[in-house]
Amino acid sequence: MTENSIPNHLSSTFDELDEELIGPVQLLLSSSTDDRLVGVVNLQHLCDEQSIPFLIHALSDECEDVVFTAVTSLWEIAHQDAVTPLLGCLSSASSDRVRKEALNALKELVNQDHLLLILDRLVTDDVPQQLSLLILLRKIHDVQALPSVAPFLSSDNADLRRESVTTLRYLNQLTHFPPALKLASDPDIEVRKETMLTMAHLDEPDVIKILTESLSNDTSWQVRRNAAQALERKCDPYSASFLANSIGDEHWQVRKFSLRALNPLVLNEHLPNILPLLCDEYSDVRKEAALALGGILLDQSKAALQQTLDDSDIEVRIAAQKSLAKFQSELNPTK
Amino acid sequence: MSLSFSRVDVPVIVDESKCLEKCNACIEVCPLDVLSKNPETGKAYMKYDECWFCLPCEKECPTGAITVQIPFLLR
Repeated sequence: MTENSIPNHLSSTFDELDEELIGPVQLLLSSSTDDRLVGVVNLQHLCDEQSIPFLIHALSDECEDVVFTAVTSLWEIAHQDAVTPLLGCLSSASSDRVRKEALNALKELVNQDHLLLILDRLVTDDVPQQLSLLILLRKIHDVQALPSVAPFLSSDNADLRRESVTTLRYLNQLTHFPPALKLASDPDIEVRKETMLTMAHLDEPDVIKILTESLSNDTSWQVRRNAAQALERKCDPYSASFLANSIGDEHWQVRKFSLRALNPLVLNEHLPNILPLLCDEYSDVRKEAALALGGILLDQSKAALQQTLDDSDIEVRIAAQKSLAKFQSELNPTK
Repeated sequence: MSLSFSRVDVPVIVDESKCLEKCNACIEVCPLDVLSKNPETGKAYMKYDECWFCLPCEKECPTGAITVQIPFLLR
């Protein structure tokens, strides 16, 4: 290997390298694939910032293993200079493995300074790249990204709709955005699931109505569960009657999260709906039912909670104890 | 019956067809220093039959040449 084989733009950097880096860098610039692989692995172990320009050069290597290891090394060194070259690895020209590794590296490296760079790259027809960039925007949280994210909500590609509606809930100060609500009736289940969680962060007047409708009528239990989770965050009295119905849902996760959402809104009239759930086959549901009963100060609920102290699951017993303690403190506030 | 000349009774199995002669990744990461290069072939091998089954050698190998056979009771 002679210095003649070193690319011109790297020759001055090569001259300033520490002695221990020279060997691996020479291997990395070799024409033999095996040598380049050994070189990049050695540079990864040395983890030296001086090797960054050479690792960036290796990102355009024809061998996938070399590129993958170079991405991993740049991730470990975690220098901001690597951000732009790593963004180049997100395109569909890179293999799936390299793209995923680059995305994971960028999740840790991007910051506010890279917002415009990412937004510029969103203007492309490369779907895998767009998906990755939408994910990266979540790290930056900047509402300035909204005009660039919004068009993807009406994309023909379900993955793009899903990722864009998910990104919306990470944007700071975004409380009103009506186009997102339309995705609550999207044909794709994954899109509807993410839309439910995003709506928890929006303050549109229709949000509670849409969430309660999805909680009651959606065909997917995962969407119904996410609707219950969103309603828990909203804590709106309007949703109480819908939650009281959905605690009888056929899927235990919907029952569990509906009970959790109902807890701060619980009324005496909900007692007949909650009592049977103390005998639910899933302990998570029994626990939430015991906690919810703590908000109903009736003899009937107290008696039921005392029976629950014999439950087979320790967490249910602890929840029942907590609720009974709440009873005591409500009835004897001075003690 | 033919004799087997490769060592297969140790936990760290090296596929010599994949092992790169100039690479020392597995040797460098082994916390017990039990891996070494065979001076004749230039390939890595397990010099001492002692292993913590910690797996960095398998993970760091750039060509996937190493397989660590974890005993059933540790799986």
